[in-house]
Amino acid sequence: MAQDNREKYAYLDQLSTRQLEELLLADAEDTSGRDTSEVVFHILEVLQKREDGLKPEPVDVDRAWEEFQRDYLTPEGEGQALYPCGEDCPEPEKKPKARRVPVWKTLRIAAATVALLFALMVGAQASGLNVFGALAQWTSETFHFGAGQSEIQSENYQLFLDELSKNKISKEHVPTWLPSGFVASEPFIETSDSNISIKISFTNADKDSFSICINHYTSQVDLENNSFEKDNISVESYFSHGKTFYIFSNIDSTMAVWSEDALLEMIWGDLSENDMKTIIDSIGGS
Amino acid sequence: MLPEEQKFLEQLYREAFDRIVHYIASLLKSKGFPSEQISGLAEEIAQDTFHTASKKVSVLMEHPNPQGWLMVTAKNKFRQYKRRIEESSRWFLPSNDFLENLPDPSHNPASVLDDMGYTDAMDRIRQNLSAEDFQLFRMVLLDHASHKAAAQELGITVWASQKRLGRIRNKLQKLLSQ
Repeated sequence: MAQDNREKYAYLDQLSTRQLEELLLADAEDTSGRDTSEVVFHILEVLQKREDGLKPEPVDVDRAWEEFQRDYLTPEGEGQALYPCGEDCPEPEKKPKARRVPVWKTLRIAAATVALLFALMVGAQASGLNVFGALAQWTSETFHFGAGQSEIQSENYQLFLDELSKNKISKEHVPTWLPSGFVASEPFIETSDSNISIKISFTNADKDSFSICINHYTSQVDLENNSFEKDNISVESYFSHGKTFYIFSNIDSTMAVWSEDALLEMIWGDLSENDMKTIIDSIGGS
Repeated sequence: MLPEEQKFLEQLYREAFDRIVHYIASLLKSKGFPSEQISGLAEEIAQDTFHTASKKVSVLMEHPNPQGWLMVTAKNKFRQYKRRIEESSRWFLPSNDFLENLPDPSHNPASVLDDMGYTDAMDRIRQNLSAEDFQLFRMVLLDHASHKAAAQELGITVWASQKRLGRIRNKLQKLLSQ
């Protein structure tokens, strides 16, 4: 398992010590209670190896265990905590919850391991570090082209494009191909202090659905605060028409994300990998 | 604690204590805590994490990732500790007058603390606490020592240190907000 994690997170080894420490601090500020221990422990290993090339002196666990029982695990400490974590204290659960969270809501929640890293790495990339270049080893070499009926010409999709124009977001960032059989909903616009979010969703007769959302942030810092939930599958970097999308799965849906400056585009839902890539290929293409 | 719970806790402790200590130490170091205090503080936050775990051991035994739970708990304790230190340091924040009228660079640096009101605040604290309480306050809140270090200095238990500091903080919050 440790060897698997080393391979899975090997790209992190290319970040500077300072950036790894910033990732740890950013994770420490995450109040969601999600378990990011895998990546945290990997980062710690990397940091420890870098400190003079040696691991720091390990703690004398025998001594510590003895102190724990003598000084801390006493009747006087019953019901007390030296460093209370208050409402943030996680309650251990016997089984992980298997809840179906609306994907839109999921995008607003600070997330699991690689999702948090993605948000932070966007910032690192913007500051000149070639973080995503390091991920290029995962780029797929399979390209898919196809044609299909779509809702591109529908009234709701045109409304979506109009909203983007009103907010000075170029149509070059928008798909010109969508899988057949899906019907578009009215676009949904949400504004906050940090961003404007323009979203459109599609549903088919089988109740499958997917969404496209473009967020325009007021600043790069706000974009860096965005994060996504992701389960335990590798991120795939997919390059098309000058944009690099990062494709990963989120529980039982697929998500692709692209960002540049203060723009963030997300496509997610019940989409096959082929359809996701065809959608991406239609963005910015002729 | 049942024997099997005790055994589980000890095994978990031996597997994870070192990792949790180094995790917290890394966070403390990144936040600029004094290097001489980091190992003691990190160990104590880790000890407290396992102390919290000891109250939930029966559930932890069936948890899919007890080390992950420990890490999240330790992280939350670190975050709360950092908040507490930041809250305490606000007692010494300079007044608005000071911020709006920054001293002339030729001003005697030693008197800047007087101008900030820091010296006054410390004088008031010293006057309103016993010598022992002031020592505890200074060690834990200003010098960022662990409760264990303070307890050893004062000849009390860590829990007595924790309770006493709680009373001190409440007292000072009222005093310095006047």
